[in-house]
Amino acid sequence: MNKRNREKSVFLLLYSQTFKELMRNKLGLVLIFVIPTVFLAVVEWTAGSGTLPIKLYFFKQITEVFINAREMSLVFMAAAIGGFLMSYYAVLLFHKDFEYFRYCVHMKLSPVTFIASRFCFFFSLVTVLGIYTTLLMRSLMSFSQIISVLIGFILLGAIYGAYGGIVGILSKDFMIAILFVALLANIDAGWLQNPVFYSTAQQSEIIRWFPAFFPCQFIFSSIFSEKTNLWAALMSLLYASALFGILFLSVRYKIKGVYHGYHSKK
Amino acid sequence: MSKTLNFLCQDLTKSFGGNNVLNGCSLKIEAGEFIGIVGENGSGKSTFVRCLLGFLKPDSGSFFLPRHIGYCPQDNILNSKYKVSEHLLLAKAITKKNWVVHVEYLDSCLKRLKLLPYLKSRIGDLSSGTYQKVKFLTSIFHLPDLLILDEPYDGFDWQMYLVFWEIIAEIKSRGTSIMMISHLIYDRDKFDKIFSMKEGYLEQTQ
Repeated sequence: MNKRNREKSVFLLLYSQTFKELMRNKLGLVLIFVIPTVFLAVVEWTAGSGTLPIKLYFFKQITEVFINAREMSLVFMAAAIGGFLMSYYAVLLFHKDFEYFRYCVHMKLSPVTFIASRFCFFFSLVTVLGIYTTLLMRSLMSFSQIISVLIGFILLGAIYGAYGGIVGILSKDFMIAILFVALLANIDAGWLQNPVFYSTAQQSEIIRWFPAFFPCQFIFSSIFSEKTNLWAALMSLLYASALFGILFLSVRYKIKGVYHGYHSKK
Repeated sequence: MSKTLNFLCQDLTKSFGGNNVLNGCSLKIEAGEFIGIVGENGSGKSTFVRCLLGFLKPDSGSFFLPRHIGYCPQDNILNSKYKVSEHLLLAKAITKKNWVVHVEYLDSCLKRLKLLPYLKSRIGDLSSGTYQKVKFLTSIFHLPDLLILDEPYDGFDWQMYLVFWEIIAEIKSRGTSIMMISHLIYDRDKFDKIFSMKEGYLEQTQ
């Protein structure tokens, strides 16, 4: 086997091991399916049936639409849960057992292979969660742009996951990382992006720069209008790319050690 | 005939917030040489190793190491969710990229360290002695050029302690240089040299 194939086999091994780690984390497994189901069931059970005016932000246009309160709450809640869950999983992926992988890098595991395997697993998880949430939503309400909605949830998961990963990698304490993740998810995806709130907010310019704004707008537009909000998709992609860039550099810096260059050949 | 130099370190210094932990440590180890470093708790032994391995940035000094190093850390850093077999599989796959993995040697060490019954156990469920054996095995199975052992036999029973020395003697005879760090060193006659870490300096005591 040549060196490239060996690298590939290490990558596949790391990927499958990450999957096994998740399977052994009973709480993590329960969260991924139970939390969206329970939260959306509570919304379905308690939401009112009146209509509310909300704003949808397109590139040069703000459209006001009247939406059923129940449907609006379902979409908003799904987005908030998706954001929080993905940042929670990212903290698990990039914080837990990090010293072990540093040790593996010392044994000559390539940092790039490690990061690639974690990122691939992360995207698999985002996709699974996105598909599950979209299907759950589709079973509770009707919308035509299913693929766009799925993409929206994936973008939201990617942005929040990258944020969770950065917090996880930079924080020494797991609970502090979770606290930071919960705080941002709570104020941003769980409050500021609530259409009822942001549609009448005084400082909507500030709300627009929070991480969940663009993917939430993409999801809301895909569900509550016939248009595809390409501007929101593009901005989400830029946001996700920037955060992943920061995450990549943080992981690479931390896993290689500050002075790895000191290793020298005889 | 002079032996090959496997490790050289000169005037290594490291301080934390004005507290000088390493004050200019110098050390050289030849191929097949076995040295011990002793010192009280907090004397800087582990800081010295962490600087050598790149986990910490030294303030000054120079050193060179062989590329093929085995390291048995003091801390319990193994992935608690992995099974022993999964950890060894990953360690083998990583090592295989650069060096030959001596499968027979790995199997023989597994037997001698009595790890075979634990292959399907999760690392997080192992007793401290068994955990220590897994760390030790990970550092030696690929027969490195330089082996760094930080408190390697903590938690070993007497029989395992004897097996440990048996394996060390084998590895040494193959030309591996060994640096062992401990706050307590017994069997001083097994070492070629012993250094003591005091106030950030390494002093040869044997």
